[in-house]
Formats: sequence, structure tokens, C-alpha cells
Amino acid sequence: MSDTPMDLFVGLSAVLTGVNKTMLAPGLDPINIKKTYFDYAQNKAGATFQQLLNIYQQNQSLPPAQIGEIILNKSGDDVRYLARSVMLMWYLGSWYDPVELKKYNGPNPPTDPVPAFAVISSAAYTHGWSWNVAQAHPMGYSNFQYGYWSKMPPSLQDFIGGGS
Amino acid sequence: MKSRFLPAITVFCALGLLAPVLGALQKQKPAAPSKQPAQAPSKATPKPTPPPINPVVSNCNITAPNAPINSSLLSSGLPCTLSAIPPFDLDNLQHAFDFNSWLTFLALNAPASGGVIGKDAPTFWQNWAEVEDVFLPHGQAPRPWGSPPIRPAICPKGTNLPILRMVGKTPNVLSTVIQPFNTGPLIDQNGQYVHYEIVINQPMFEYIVQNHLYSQEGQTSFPGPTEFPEGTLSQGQTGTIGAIVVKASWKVLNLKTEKASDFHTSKVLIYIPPQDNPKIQEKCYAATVGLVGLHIVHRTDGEPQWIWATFEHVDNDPTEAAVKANQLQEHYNFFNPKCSDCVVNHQPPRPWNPNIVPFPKGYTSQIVRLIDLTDEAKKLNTSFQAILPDTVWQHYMMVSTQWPTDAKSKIDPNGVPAPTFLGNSTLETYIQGTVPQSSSSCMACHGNATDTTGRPSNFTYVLERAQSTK
Repeated sequence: MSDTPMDLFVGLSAVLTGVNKTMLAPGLDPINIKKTYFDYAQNKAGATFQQLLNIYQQNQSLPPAQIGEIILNKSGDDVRYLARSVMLMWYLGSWYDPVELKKYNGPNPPTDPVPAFAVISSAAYTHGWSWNVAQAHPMGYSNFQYGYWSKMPPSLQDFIGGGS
Repeated sequence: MKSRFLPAITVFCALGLLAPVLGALQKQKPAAPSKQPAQAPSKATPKPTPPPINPVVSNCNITAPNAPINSSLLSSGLPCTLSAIPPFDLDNLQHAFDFNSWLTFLALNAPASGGVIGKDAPTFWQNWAEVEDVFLPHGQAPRPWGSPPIRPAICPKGTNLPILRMVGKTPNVLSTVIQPFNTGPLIDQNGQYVHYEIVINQPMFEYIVQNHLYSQEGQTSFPGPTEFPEGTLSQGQTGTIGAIVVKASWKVLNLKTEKASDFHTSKVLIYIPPQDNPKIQEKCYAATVGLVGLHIVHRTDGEPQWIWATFEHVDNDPTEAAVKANQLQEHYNFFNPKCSDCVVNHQPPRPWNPNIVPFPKGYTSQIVRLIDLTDEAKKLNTSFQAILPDTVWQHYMMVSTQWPTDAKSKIDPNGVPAPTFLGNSTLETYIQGTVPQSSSSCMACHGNATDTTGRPSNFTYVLERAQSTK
């Protein structure tokens, strides 16, 4: 059975983030943030996004590190910086335009410490993976029950799963 | 997912042996000793053995969600837990939960006097314990299960009418007319306040009573954790019911302009408790009310975060899309189609005094449903309404059912609920929407509930009503 574009996106995202596919796209997924991100990236970077998915499709049988090497260092700047945008999207729930990211690696990087970005949605804000990696929760939003702040958080394994 | 798999043979047998509607509700036999036995009484004289908290029943409704929707379901009884069949994907499970909600609705709205759902009569759940009779002044022990409601002294004597003592879901004053987070009362198109009640079934009642959770001191000495009994299915139709909470919203009917046959009605005493700031006088008067909203919340072994079903009267309010398209009915309970400049989904102006009705200056709530029902929910409603012809119950619809998609999640004690947001336009009127931590989500809100010691109280706020015995 051939992979759907969403299958490819989730597989690609697992390679880029290091987070298990089943954590990025649970079998029962009422929030379905993957679709939010897929649609957003496709809208922002149509042709390059398709190119990125194609590269992943052609190399998905390779170890993750090799796939990463191909995407980030051997496929040109457009793919490279879009891949970074996808990473940031999953971790921060925000869109950092690849063109903006590229400026920070150029000869005259912007003086602003943070590139311009857009929070993709309220669900994206609350489901940024950076919070899970930190075993924490976003400001103003927590699923944990009253008094959680006085206890140790669950393990990192519980938050991010066992890798891609 | 194990509990969501029902062997085909079991389903087949269930369809052939439909239990009487009240079977699972009434025919109970003694259970094994509870995991959390009652504390030893301190008095010298022996007390009678308390009833089992969550007794075994022999006729749980195990109708599978792909069963034909016909009149046989009217007598199929109360599901003890979810019945589901593969594939266990999001849509199929949502259907199973919604189907379960309708079966539960049919069972709990059967007449308390017996028989199947149909005639407009006091329902089975209306005989359950009101939370006001469980959490008494000075932390007194509640009277035994089945005792009549405690009647405020001001209420008329010589009548056994039920009493509506809430004008909202939260406990205090305007508790009786105000919704969660003090968001305000709901005013119908006649200028009348909507009134509320919360009742619990016997397993939940006995768990509270036998663990002395009805007082602050009892909660302090309770070792915890608070785990209300679960609905289970052990073999065939044998299982336990588990804890169920029902929250109902009622509008006062004007029998000159509104058809009682459009509503499940109840003749009640409406009690308005006294309040100092703002000054509200104690009052108690008789009225005929019509059911406009109903939460049914059931704790089961596969859903420790509970299953949250919500129903509404079909004429409560239009959807946002219907308003924009100007596809409106002539009449709604909480929306005036002729008012183009009424502010929607806004609390009434203060002061809020439920003794002053109709609401001053002709004010009525202008409520719009912000999240429309799914197409699947609409289809299911049509099918179930079709087996309730010529009854008041055909005028009710299921809005949705919220359930945990990952009940054992270690990083989301709410179990990653689906749908993420769910509200009833008469019970969470002013917090509808899709804003995290702000819009209505049954589990996300109730996951924060605690008892009076600050200990998580297993997704119910009722324990915070306990008073001190001192």
C-alpha cells in the first residue's frame, strides 16, 4: 500500500523532530494537529513542501540520521530551511518562514534575536513539543490536576515516547 | 481498548434477550465487598449493614452500536459500560459513545413508576439524590437512600412536589441560577430564569456516605484517592452500574403560550435561597417546568474520566451558521429571531435577582450555538427521535458525547478527550467555543475538581460542597 501524503509528512516529522511517529500522530487523535501543520506548510511552501515529502519518500528506508543528512545538507537551501521550519512548527507551534530563517545564516544576519513568526493556532500553542521535551506545559494551560506543581513531572519517556 | 471489544456472540445474545428497561436499574444483588469499605461506626449500638456500594446487576444493556434503531431499544435497559465493535477508530468509537448515550437517555428517562420511556412522567433519575440533600449544613450525615427531599421551611406544606433549588450549576447563591464560573443566569424568551438541579445515583451516593465524604472532616480523614465506583461488564449481561451524575436545566413554562406537550414537564417547587449581597429574599413557589438541558455523566471501567453525554431540547437556540444564513425557526426557547441588534451569548445585565420575573426591561437571553452538531450526531438523533413518536422525548437531541481517547495517558490525566470541546447551550451557555482552558470541555474542567482538602476529587465538583461539622 502506498504512503499517503500525510503518512509521508508524519514519517518526515518523526525524523526531523526525533519524536516517535505514534506520539506525533496517535491512532486516536481528536486534536489532529498533524493536519493543521500539514495544511499550513502546504499553504506556505507548496512546491518545496512537495519536494521535501518526495525526498523523504525516496529515502525513508534509510536510517534517520542519513535521511536528515540528505534533507539538511544535500538538497539545497529551499528544502533545508523548509525542513527547519517544519521542525520549529512541531516544537513551538509557530511558523518561522524559511526565507527568514535563511537570513540568520547569511553574511549579514538580522540583529533581532528572534525571527518573525506566527502562532499557528491555539491548539498549536498548547501542543508544541518543546513543552513535552521540558516535561512542562505552556504558560496558561495545563492538563495536570490541582496540586501537580508540588510533584515531580512524569518521565521524559512518558512525554516524548521512544524516538522515531 | 480491551473493554471496547464485544464478542459477536455476546452481541447476538443481547439482541435476543432484551432486558426490561428498569432491569439494570432496579434488579440488584449483593456484590463482593467494596474495595473501600465504610469506616467503622463509633457508636456502641450496632448499625445495620450498609448496602453494597456498587452491587452486581444481571442485566446490563449490551446492545452493540451497529444494532438497528427500532422500538426494541426502548426497553433495552441501562448500559453498564460501553459496547463497541471494531474498527476502533475515532469516528467509529464516537458513534459507539453516542449510541451509548442514547441508550442511557432512553433508560434513565423511563418513568420512575415503571415501564418504558414514552409518557411524560417523573423519570427514573428524578428519584435520585439531590446534591443539596447529600451535603447538608454542619456536615450532617445524609438521610438513607430513597428518603424524600429535605424541604426548606418556607416551602408549602402538604405537597410532595420535587424542589428545584439551583438557578445555576455552582453552589452558592445565585448558585441556584448561575452557571459555571459565575458566568451568569440564562433567561428564556418569557423573561424567566432557568433553574437547575444535580442528582446522583445510588452507587455514587453510597460511596459518599459510606466513606463519610459528606463532611469536611470525613474528607480529611479519608485516605484517598477518591475513586467513584465504575460501571463494569464481567460476563454476559452481568456487571455493575457505577456512579452516574445527572445535571438538568429547566425552564418555567407559560402554559398559555407554550405547549407542555413539547417538553418533558415537572410540577415543582422552585426554591430561591436568601442572600445578603445583593439582597435576595428567600422564596418558594410552585411552577410547571420543562426540561431544556440534560447532562448524563457515567463512570465506567474503560473511561475513568467518565463518559459525558449531553442532550438539549431541539428548540433551544439556532446555530451560528443558521443565524448567518437567516435560516431561523419562528420560535426558540432562548433566541429571539426578530431581534437583529440583541447581543448574543452575553450575560444578562446585573443585578440578578430570580425573584424579579419577568427579567426587568423585557430582557431575554439571545443564545446562539457556537459548535454545531456533527452530521453523524444529527443522523443518530433523527433515528432515535423516530422511535419516540408522539412523545415529549422526540423533542430532545443529543449534542455529543465526550470520552477519553487515551484513558491511561500519563501526561494528560484528562485522557485526551474527544471531542476536545463540548458544551450544552443551557448549562455552559457563556463558555461555548474552542479556546483552550476557557471554552467548555467537560473533562478539562472537571479534571481540576477537588474536595475540600484540595485533593483531586475524581472529576466531580460535588465534594467541594461539604461543610464542617464544627
